[in-house]
Amino acid sequence: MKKALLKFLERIEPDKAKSPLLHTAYDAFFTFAFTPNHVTKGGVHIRDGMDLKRTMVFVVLSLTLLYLFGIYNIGAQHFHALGMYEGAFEALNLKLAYGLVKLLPIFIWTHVVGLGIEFYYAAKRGHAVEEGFLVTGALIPLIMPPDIPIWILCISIAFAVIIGKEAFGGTGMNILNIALLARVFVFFAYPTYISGDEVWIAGIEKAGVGQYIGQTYGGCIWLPRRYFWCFRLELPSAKGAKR
Amino acid sequence: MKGNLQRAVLLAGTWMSAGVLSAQSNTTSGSDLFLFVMVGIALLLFFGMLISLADNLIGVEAKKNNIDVERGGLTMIPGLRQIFGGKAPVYANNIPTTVLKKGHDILLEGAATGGVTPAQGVTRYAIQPPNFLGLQPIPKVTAEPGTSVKAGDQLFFDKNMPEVAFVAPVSGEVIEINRGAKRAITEIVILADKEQQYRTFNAPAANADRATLLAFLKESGAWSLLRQRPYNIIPDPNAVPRDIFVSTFDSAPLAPDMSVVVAGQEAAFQKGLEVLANVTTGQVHLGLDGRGDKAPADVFVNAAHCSKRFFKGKHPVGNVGVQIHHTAPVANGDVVWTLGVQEVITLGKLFLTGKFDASRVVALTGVELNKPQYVRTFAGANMGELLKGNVKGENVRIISGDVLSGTQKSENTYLNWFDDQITVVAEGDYFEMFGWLVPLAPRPSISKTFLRNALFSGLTFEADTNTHGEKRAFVVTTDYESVMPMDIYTQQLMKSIVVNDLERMEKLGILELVEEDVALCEFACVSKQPLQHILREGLETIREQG
Repeated sequence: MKKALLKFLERIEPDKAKSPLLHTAYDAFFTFAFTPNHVTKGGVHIRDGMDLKRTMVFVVLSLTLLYLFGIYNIGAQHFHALGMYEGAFEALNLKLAYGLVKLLPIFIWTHVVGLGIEFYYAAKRGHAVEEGFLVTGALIPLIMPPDIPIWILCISIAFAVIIGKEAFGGTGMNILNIALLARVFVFFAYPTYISGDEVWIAGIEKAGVGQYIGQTYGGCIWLPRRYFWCFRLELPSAKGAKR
Repeated sequence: MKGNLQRAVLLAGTWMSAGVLSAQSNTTSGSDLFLFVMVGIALLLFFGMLISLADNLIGVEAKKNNIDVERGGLTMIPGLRQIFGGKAPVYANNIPTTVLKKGHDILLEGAATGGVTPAQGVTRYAIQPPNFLGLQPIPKVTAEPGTSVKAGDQLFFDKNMPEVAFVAPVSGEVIEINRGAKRAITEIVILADKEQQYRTFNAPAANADRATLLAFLKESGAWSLLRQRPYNIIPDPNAVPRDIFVSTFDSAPLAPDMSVVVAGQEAAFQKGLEVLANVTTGQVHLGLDGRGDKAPADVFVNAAHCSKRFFKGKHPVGNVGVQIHHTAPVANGDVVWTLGVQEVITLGKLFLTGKFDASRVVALTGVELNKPQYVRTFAGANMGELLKGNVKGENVRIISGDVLSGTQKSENTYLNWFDDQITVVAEGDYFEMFGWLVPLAPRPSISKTFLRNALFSGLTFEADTNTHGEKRAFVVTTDYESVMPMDIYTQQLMKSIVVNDLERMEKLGILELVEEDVALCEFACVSKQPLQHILREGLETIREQG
C-alpha cells in the first residue's frame, strides 16, 4: 500500500522548471503524505521527532474545543435573538447546525485565499510551503464576526498574509500576528460593517433590531454567576472569544 | 536544617493567611471579599518585593566580602532556587552543588558495558590537524612519509606558533600524509610498531614555576591536549589561563562512564591536576557527577589541588561549558582552558614517567554494534580496524563522538583527537507515511505530543539519522529554552549570527558557547536548523575580527 502510493506519487511528479506552482502544490501534498527521506548532515546526527508540521497541527487540534463552543454560540445567540429555544441545551442540534452553516463558509474561504497566496509565494521563491498558515487559518474564523461578508473576509486575509507575512519573508520572519492583523484590518477598513452589536449575532436582520429593545443579550447564562460575577458576559461575543 | 526551617515558616504563613481570608468570607459580601483579597495580594507583593530587594543587597555585599552566600550564611528568606531548586545529592557533604532543571537526557540503546579490554588489530593511527581548531590549514610537517617516529616525537607545527609541538600518539612509521580541499593537510598516518617506543622527556617537577611548566607543555606535545575558551581552540601560547576546567562526567547520549575510564590511572589523574593548578593564575575547577544515587569515583571526589562542585541535572549538565557558566563565567577578555579526563591522565603520565602516553579508553556504542564495549587504544585509531566484525547492519553511520556533536566518519578514517567514543547508528533514509502526524516507530523527543515519551520515563530508543521533517525558518517555540541550562537566548543569538551582527552576538553571550552546548537545542529544533554550524560561523567571524 505504502510502496504503491509512493511509486504512484513519484510517477506523477510535475516538472519543477516548467510549472513551479504545480510542483509546489505537489510537494506540499507529498510531504503531507510522507515524511521525506532526508538524513542529518553535519551537526547533530539524530533529530527530535517533532517538526513544524506536527507543532502547528497540535496547535490547531488544541483549538477544537473553541471551535465547538464557537459553533454552538453562533446558533445560541441567533435563536436567543429570535426569542426561541432560550434554554442552554434546548434544540442543541439546530443551534449547532446553524452555527456550522455560518462558520463553514468563513473557514473554507479563509483557507482558499490564505493557502492560495501561501502557495503562490512558495512557488515564486522556490521553497516548500511552510505550515504557519495552518494556525492562522484556524484562528481567523474564531475572531471574525459570523455575519461578515465573504468579500471583506477575503480582502482582509489577503492583506494580512501579503503585508503581514510575505512582505517580511514568510513564516517565522513576520513581525505582526497574521490573524490579528486580519481582524484589525477589518476593524479599521470597514467600521460600518463591524461596529455595533448587531454584527455579532448571525441573522439578526431577519428578526429586526426592534426585537431587542429591553432584552438582555445572550451570554453564558447557565454559568454559575456566583463565581464568575466579575466576568459577567452581558454582550454576545465573537465565536468562542471573550469580548 | 536551616533550609527546612525556612520552608516550614513560609508554609505556615501561607496557611494562616489563607485561614484569615476564608474566615472573612463568612461575614462579608462578595464584592468586599474581592476587594480585601486584591488589597491583601498587593500588600503581600509590596512587602515581598521590599524584603527580596534587601535580601539581594545583602547577597551582593556578601559576595564582595567573599562570604559564601550559596550555603546559606546570610539570606533571610529562601530564594526561589532554594525552595524549588531540587535537592543536592546526599553524598555531596561539604562540596557545593548546582542543580539544573533544564535539559533532556536522550536515552539510546547500545550503551557500552563491562570492563576495558585492549583493542585488537588496530595498526594505523592518525593525527588530524583539523581537530585542533585555530591552526592554519596547512601546518609545517616535520616528519615526512617514510620516517620512523617514537611516541612523543614531533610530527608538525603551526607557523603562527612554532614553539608548540604536535607529537605522534604512537611509535611507528609515517606512511602517508592525506590532503583535503585546497591542499589542507587532513591526516598524518602512522603505521604503529608492535611494541610501543616512547621518547623520554625530562619533565620538571609538578610544582616548578609557571614559565618552566608552560615551556615544557609546548615542547612535549601536551599543549595539544588543551583547549581554550572562548572558541574551543588550541590555546594561545602567550596567554595564561584565568582558570582551568575539567568535567569528570559526560552526560551526552551513550557517553562513556568516566569511573571506568579512570580506573587504574588515579595517580596520573591526580598528578595532572597538580600540574594544571600550577599553570593557571586561578584555580582548577572539577565538575563532579551529582546525578546518580552513588557517589562518583573516589579519585574525583577526593581530588586535591582543585576546587570541586557537584552538578545535578539532565544533559547538557556534563558539558564543561555549562559548568563554566555556573561556576565562573567567561567574561569579556577572559581566557580559560578546558580538558577532558583522559587528557588530564595523559598529562599526568607525562610528568610521572616522562612519556607521552596518548592511550585512550574508547567506548564503542550504538544499537548497530554486535557488542558495545570499552576498549583501550591510542588517540587517532583507525575506525574501521577498531570496529572490525562488530558492526551489524550495512546502512549505518559511524560517528566519532556522540550522536549530538560527533563527526560523521567512514571505515577508513580515524578517531578524532579529543573523542573517547564511537557511536554507530542506522541511517534513516526512508519515507514515512504520515510520519509527522501518527509516528509509528518510537523515537526520542522532548515533546509531550508523543504519548509514549510523555507517559513513560526511562525508555530507551533506537534512533536513526532521519530528520523527521524538513528544514524551515526559525519559529518561536520554547524548545530551545527548555533544554538550554544557561542564561542565554539561543534563538536571538542564532539570528544575530545569521545577520552577522557582531555586537549583538557578543552581548547575547556567544563567547560562552561552543558547538556541544547548543547541540541539544539543535536536536530539539522543530525547524531543523543547523545551530552548531551557525554558531561556529559566528565564533570564527568574531575571532577573525579580533
